[in-house]
Amino acid sequence: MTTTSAASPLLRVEDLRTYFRSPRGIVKAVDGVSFAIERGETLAIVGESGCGKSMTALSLLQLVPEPAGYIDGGRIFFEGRDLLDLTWDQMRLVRGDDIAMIFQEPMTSLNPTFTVGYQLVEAMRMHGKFAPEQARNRALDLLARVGLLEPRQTLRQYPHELSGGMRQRVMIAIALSNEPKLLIADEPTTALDVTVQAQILDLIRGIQKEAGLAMLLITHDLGIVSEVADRVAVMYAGHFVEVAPTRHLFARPDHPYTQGLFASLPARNRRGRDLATLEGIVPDPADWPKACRFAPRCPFRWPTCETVAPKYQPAGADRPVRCHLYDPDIADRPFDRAPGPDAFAALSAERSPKASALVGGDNSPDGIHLHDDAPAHSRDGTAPAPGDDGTAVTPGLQNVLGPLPAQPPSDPPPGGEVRR
Amino acid sequence: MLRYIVRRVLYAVPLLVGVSLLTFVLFYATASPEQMARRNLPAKNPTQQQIQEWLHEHGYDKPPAAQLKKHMSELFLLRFGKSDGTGEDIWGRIRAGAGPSALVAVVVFFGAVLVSVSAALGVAYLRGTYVDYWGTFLCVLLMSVVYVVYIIAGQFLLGKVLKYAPLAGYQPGAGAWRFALLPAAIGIVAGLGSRVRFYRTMMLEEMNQDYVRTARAKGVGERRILFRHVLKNASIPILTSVVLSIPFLFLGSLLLESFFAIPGLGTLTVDAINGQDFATVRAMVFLGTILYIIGAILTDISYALVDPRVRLE
Amino acid sequence: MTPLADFARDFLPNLVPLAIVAALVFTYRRVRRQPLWAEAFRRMRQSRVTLAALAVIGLFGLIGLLDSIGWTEGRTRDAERITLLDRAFQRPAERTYSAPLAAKTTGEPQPRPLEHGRHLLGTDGTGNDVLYMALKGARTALIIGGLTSLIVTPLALCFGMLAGYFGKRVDDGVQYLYTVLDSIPSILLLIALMLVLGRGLVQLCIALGITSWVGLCRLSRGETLKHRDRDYVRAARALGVSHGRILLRHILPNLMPLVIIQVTLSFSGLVLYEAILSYLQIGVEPGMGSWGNMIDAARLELAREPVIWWNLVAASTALFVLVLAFNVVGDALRDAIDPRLRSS
Repeated sequence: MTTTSAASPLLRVEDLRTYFRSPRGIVKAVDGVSFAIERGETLAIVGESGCGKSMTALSLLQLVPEPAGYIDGGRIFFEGRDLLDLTWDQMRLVRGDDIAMIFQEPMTSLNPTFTVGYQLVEAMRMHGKFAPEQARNRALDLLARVGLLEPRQTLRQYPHELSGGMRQRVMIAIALSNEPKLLIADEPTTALDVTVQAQILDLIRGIQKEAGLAMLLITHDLGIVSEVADRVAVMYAGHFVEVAPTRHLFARPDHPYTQGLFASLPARNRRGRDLATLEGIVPDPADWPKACRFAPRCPFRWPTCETVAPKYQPAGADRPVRCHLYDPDIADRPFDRAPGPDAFAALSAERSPKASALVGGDNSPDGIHLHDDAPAHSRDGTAPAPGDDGTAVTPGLQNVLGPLPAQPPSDPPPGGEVRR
Repeated sequence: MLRYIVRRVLYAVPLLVGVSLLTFVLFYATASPEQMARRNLPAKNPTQQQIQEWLHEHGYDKPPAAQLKKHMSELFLLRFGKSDGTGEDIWGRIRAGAGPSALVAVVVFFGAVLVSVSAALGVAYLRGTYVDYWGTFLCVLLMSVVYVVYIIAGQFLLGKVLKYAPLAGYQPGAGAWRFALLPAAIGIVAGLGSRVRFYRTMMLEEMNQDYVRTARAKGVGERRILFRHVLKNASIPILTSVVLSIPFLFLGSLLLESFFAIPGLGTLTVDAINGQDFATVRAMVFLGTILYIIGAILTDISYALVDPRVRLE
Repeated sequence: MTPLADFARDFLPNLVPLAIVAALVFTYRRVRRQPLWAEAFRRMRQSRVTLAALAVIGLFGLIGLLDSIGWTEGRTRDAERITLLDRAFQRPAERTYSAPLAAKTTGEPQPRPLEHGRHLLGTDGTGNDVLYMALKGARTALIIGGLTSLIVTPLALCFGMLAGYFGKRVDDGVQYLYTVLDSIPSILLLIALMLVLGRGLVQLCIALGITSWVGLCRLSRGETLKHRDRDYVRAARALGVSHGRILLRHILPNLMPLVIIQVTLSFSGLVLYEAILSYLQIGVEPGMGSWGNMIDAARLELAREPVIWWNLVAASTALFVLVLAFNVVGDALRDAIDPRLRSS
């Protein structure tokens, strides 16, 4: 963990908005995103496809696909300068030098008609910091540093002669060639084989430590996040719903969406149970839901969620969460906090007609048991009736929760804390 | 590389056999030799003997199988024989006409590619702006005009009205290029519309590729991206279209030469048409095919130079 | 001539254009219901330029139709057939050239007043009204494009699908055939064919058909190859569906959108070729009203004093407008049906 110096983070993004013009109207791909990254820190942005995480990354370097896409507003402070104020030429100098980026598809991200050496040297020559001979030598060093065994030969080869892992290493070498301060990695391992994924991740981590490089990692893979990131931002429908240090997020996810993500991971302590899913699909970016954008898929929703947009940093929360459950100013919250991944799984199954048809009654071994007299009102989203012991909990939820053992904070508990 | 060339040349042989068979069927099977003789003899009512003499002279009096053999061997050995119409040696006329035709054709070919690629680069650089939009529209307009009208209008405007270049005619030697100027310019303009539109499309397609995004992320400037990265990749499909435009050169030389009175192969062919001279037309078809095939082989070789993924085996 | 024979001679040729129109309308209505086409037409309707181009084509079609429907006057054996268009311009020819909207003839040592009123676009060498000749050319152009496409399409589809579907020997044979044809520069092959067939509208269509079927054949062969290995074809074979039925009912409908695009785009090329070939004296019959013939005549006219330009301008403008319209519609159709093939 680096010490936060509020005075000068390396990168500070304020209210970034990136929109797209489409025949169906304005698509708000990135709708008010704010975060900061310190020197040497790794921030991961996690989310499903279509949530806007890649666009956030591209917006930082102003590589948003034109003419349909444009940055509508916000500020991107890098070492104190607002990048959105720069001219095109000034921005060009930032790219590849102070901030570098690697992409998802190493196959198509390299020019097939130029050698690796050409593309590597070009990166260095673009910023006038190296003479040709110097650049060539540096290229050899870089290729060795990223783990390529025969740098001299690789320099002369064309991208199609290399494997996917090798190409991604070349991409990393290109990104590092001018000793950037911030590396943006957009799903760098998604297109690679699993074994190669691990190698590339190790490589990136090693280089990062060595060079004190800050990194913004875009991914949909929670496993990678747990290994590499210092802090995690969970993104949904164009904005962040939760930001937290990695360990804390994994120990105690706050936002229902995050809990849903964790619930859908196969986990040891849930062996034998059906895998949970998040019901519904990612909303259409041209038409974000009103108020809380996750509400249609959230099993903990109640009417307020569909009428009032939740605040991002509700007073009293110790980490930013975009959910009414953490807002002390909202009076009619059914819980103190989102009940947790298991509750998410149970309630989701209950509220969805399809899922509950699949989940059997008492016949399923170790299955989530749902009573047949689960009250109908839990399906249409009205507030659940108070339970016997005064808890505002549905019988279904009660079944899942059972007695709550004390859990050390490092393991995800089977259920959240419930108001007793 | 050499093996590849040899293989391609060998491939060409069955093609040429097919072509010569085709022309044989076309010409010999459809026109009776007697009619041809009558048409080409100066006398109004030629005697049977005159007809027979003519037939014998031009080799049309033998049975079909022998004629086929003669036809094929003549073509392949490039001994085209005598013109039906004028009685001249065809190969001799071809040799005489090759020079002027080549002059105009080569200028049109390279000039067209140069001008079109430059225009397409310009339009691609300014993509999204009015220049791009109106430029593309202009291309569609240019594509819709008949070649002949380009020639007529061009000759009229530039030659007669503005008197920029000699109207027509040709003089071999050092000053020959002046006579090629106007026809070549018109030939370039005639093909401009469809070429620029196509090249622009190819370039824009390349600009949407991932590697361009990577190059930008490296800090490469827009101009360098276009002129190096995009151009190198776009030249692959552009090369394909360049070979496909070779027949267009034939058309051009036919029209341009007849209009500008340039004594080349085009004029030779047009005269053959007017004189119903099958022997000459047959020779031109064969020659044209050979030239086209050579052009195709040259293009394949140039692929290997531009695209490192291509290995010519 | 018996009245029945007269009637047959008069009336039956009129059925052909009407049948063509009916077929087009019928096809449009059938096709409009399919989602692919409904969506494509909807997208095309959004562009005003495309709508204008369609209107232009419709207008030319109407003119062509007017020139196709007619009957003979008089009972003699060589009475000419007079079409509706002819009636609209029912003025006998002048003596010779006259400029647009002029009152006197041009190019004669002593200009004489015109006998039949002013002509909007002047008259040509034989005294025909230039506007009239230009409109007559519309029918010729549409027939050339239409008839050639009608010849090309079944031929190319047949060979292409057979080659793609059955592969091996059949494929080799067809490929050899079209490679041979393709190696000959089109203009040379056209010349050779026209020399053999002779001048004429139908002959021209046949020659154009022979030289232009290769492109569509290649396309359909490629597409058939793609579809042959798809699961739905395998499923059909497993069910025992015959090859012919698979080709006709399953693969062919998938090819149709690309075929339509190709036909529309090559229409303009065919019309342009007619002009060039007529100029080379191997196009349609000399007397036939065609833009190519008009341009051919114009060549010498420009050298005269005073310059006679209206013949050339009328023909080339009409040609330009029709070709442009087809290019625009073809592009719009291609963009609407398959955005992957976009060119702008």
